[in-house]
Amino acid sequence: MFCFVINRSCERILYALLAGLLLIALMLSLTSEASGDADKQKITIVLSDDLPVYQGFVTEFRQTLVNEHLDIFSNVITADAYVRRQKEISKDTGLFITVGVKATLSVVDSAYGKPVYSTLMPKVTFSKIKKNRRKKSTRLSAVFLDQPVARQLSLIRYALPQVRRIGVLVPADGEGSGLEKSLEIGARKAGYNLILERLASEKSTLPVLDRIFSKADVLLAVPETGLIDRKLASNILLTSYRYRKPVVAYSQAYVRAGALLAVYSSPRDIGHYTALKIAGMSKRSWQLPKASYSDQFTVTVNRWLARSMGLKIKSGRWLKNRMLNEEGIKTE
Amino acid sequence: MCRSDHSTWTAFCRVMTGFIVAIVLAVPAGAQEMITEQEMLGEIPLVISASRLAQPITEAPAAITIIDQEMIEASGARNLVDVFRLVPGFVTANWDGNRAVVAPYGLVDIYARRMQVLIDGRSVYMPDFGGVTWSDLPLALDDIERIEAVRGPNAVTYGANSFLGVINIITKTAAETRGTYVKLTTGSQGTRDALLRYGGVGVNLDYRLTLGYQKDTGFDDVVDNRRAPFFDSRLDYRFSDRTTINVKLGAIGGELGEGEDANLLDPPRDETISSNYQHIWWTYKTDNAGEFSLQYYHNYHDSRDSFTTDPILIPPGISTPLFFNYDVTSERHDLEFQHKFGVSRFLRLVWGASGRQDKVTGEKLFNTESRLENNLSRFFVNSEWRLHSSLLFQAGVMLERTTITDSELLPRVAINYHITPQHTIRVGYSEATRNPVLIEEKAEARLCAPDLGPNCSVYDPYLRSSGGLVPEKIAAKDISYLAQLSDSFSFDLRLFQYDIEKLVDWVEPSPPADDVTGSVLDWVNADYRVVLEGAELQASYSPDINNRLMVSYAYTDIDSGKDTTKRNYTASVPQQVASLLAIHNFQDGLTGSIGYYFLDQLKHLDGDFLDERRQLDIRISRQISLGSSEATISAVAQNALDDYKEYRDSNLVSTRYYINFALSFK
Repeated sequence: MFCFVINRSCERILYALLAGLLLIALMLSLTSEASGDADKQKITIVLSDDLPVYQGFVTEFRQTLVNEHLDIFSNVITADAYVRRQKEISKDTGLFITVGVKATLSVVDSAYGKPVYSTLMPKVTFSKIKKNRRKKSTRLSAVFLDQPVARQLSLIRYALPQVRRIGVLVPADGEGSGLEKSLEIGARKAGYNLILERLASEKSTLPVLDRIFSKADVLLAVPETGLIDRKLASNILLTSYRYRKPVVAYSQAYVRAGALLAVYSSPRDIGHYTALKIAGMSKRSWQLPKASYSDQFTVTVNRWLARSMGLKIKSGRWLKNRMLNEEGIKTE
Repeated sequence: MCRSDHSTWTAFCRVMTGFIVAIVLAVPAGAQEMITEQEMLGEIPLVISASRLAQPITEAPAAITIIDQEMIEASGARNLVDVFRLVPGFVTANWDGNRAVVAPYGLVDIYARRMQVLIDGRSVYMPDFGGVTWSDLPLALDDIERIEAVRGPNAVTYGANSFLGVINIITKTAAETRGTYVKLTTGSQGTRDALLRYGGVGVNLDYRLTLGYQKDTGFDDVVDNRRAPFFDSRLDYRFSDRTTINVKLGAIGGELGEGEDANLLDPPRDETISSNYQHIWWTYKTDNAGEFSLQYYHNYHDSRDSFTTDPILIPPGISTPLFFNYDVTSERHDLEFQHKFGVSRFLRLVWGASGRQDKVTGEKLFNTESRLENNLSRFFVNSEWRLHSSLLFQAGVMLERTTITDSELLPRVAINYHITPQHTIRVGYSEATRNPVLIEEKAEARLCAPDLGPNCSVYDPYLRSSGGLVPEKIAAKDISYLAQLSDSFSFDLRLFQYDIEKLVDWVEPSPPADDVTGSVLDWVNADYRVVLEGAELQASYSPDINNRLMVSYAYTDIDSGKDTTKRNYTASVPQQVASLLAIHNFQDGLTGSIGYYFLDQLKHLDGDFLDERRQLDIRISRQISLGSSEATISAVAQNALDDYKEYRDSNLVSTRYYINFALSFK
């Protein structure tokens, strides 16, 4: 309409452009529908939400597939979109890769027999989902978001060689998640003295933290039910600073907020690892590998905090390489 | 939110910002008792950090320089003022051995009053003269956790008087100074300092008490000795998981040398100081990272300086002693309320109000026995709009009124755009005012010849404010580029323009023919504008934990139009100011640091012409662990290069040496 003021031919050009765009859009939608029937072995990636974080997984996943010279087509949709067209999507899918808890919950009971590879999953949550799902026959595996205990202890050993006693806060009801057991075994193997304190209720946070920090050299924060709480994290960090004893955590956000160190697998790390796993799978049968931790991880150090605590810590990269060496993985 | 001065800075960080939303919104359906990836990866509010700002530097609406403990120690500074040389563009000077000024860009006389200075949120500039009496602050350098210096005006966040800059001194929490600490200092200029500090930690209550003593003789051949015993304390009480109450109390006393040899009107003498403060603040954290806070403080400062001269010959031919009385008492009560909260995932707000009561008594300076009052009320709102993960828009406004000025509405806007998480551009506009202080608006001081009669106002005043002053105004525009080029290297480049008008200045109108004193000083607002334009750079390089290099540089151009007063603003702004601080940790607890400072030639408004000066400070320290305690011995050489004059021809600074011995044990 604004063209009318300028001149007639401008208007015509505009209409021509619009018509052209409509035509292109139509053609694209037709072709995408057409390609739908073609590849029965295609992967459908279901994201828990349309946030940049999940997109990060996808970008890295696809890039790694390209680097591995794998010509596999992957379709990306959100969990909400999947729920609306479950049957249709499942029909065209060879393998489901779900990214996050919500996506996994949406797909696991309606995959129509297709295998589900659940990524970016907290181990504890995956165990619950696996146990409580309705269709027990669906093939289900996972790439965990958390880190194996051995890796966390390895980080402590390389970064803080003088540490002997590791304190860990565990949930009150000692969830059958096997956390305590794996911590005890891991610590004993690595030669550490493990100090466990139970978090009974919200009110008792500060006294429990005081006990842990007065007995241990360092606190290992673990992502367990009832322990992932911003207020709790704040209290842990405040107490840590009061006692001048560091916190080893499980995310970069935690380190930014005041923990000294963390080893974690970012969505990109998980995307990369998942793609490598896909590379090793048969594209016809989609035989899922066993549920595993990612061997791609990042180590972060809060340099300012290290300085203010008078600790000389090596760089994140140095620590990661030492840890990769120990796990027998190729260093970068 | 991503931070530039952090050890790990990856694109991943930017991507994480999406999770701020996730934490606030509901947990995905069917997963109430299950941990989700969003919780594991989600943001945790900053608790302990290098900046402890509510936001990272790349998202701050103003240009901020942070000086941390390590930098303060490495600079070897004995006086707080010397530390500010590390801020781009800040000019520091001692106009007397015991008196100093700090001024962004210059434009300063001995009552440097164009800057806001806060200690833990308590404003310490004086209601009578407007500047900060740095020598009378009961604050030990060892108790400072960090200093945030804002370059340029920032009324919205820091309130009244945040004219050319703001200095926000943040002390260590009581928990950070646990244990016993003793420090002794000896050195040039008769320096003898002692510090004793004890900090205790409990389940809910942490406390600290610092006792200090400082003594020195100031510049050679100048009467500017200082003796200052002081105490400072802090109490941090964690009332509950959400509520904390902090209390600080401090006091300082002692004497400051004044006067000059062989000056009948200004004889050598001691001024007695007595100052104290009480400060309490309460914070309550709500859900969703919101916070309420309420703060009250009281500052009291008393200075006694009065003397009778020897008989002086005064017109019309009488020889009589004169009596001078510079006694001044000033007091401030301030109450402030603030509320921070997130309105939605895109918008955060901070708003608040404060009321302040300033009272000054100075019989001979104000020619009245009654107390002069200057009260202030202020209301502010600041909003932060996250338009996109890489685009932040901040807008705020402050409404302020004082007893001697009308209401002022001062805005500030800023846009921060992250081209990539490592490269940010910020564009900002800010207005601020500097309110006239009581000495400018209400001074009336007369010579007093007690022998000539009981009524001292025999003679005409030598200071008389005609009053009717309006606040100085500044409008600042700036554009900055902040870059985090790698884990170890970052810099911040800024171009600015300050448009200043209504500067309040001393003038000397021609005195009437029969006037005894020969001159009367008055204060008036300038009728011309002063424009400052320039560029600033600060860069930091730290390849590993044992090495740090920080550089600052400022280039300033001033256009002061028709400078009709006696002052020369152009000469008071040095064209270039630069600093460099390098720190290296050797093995075995040995640390070496070098500070190099350059200041272009300048003439302070009421000082003498000074050549460009180059200072080199060197510090070496050795830390020794003795079981559960730690001893640190350090030696400092200040001004290892040529001697230079500071502020006035009479202040000659040569190389000074200090030795510190400190012992800390739990």
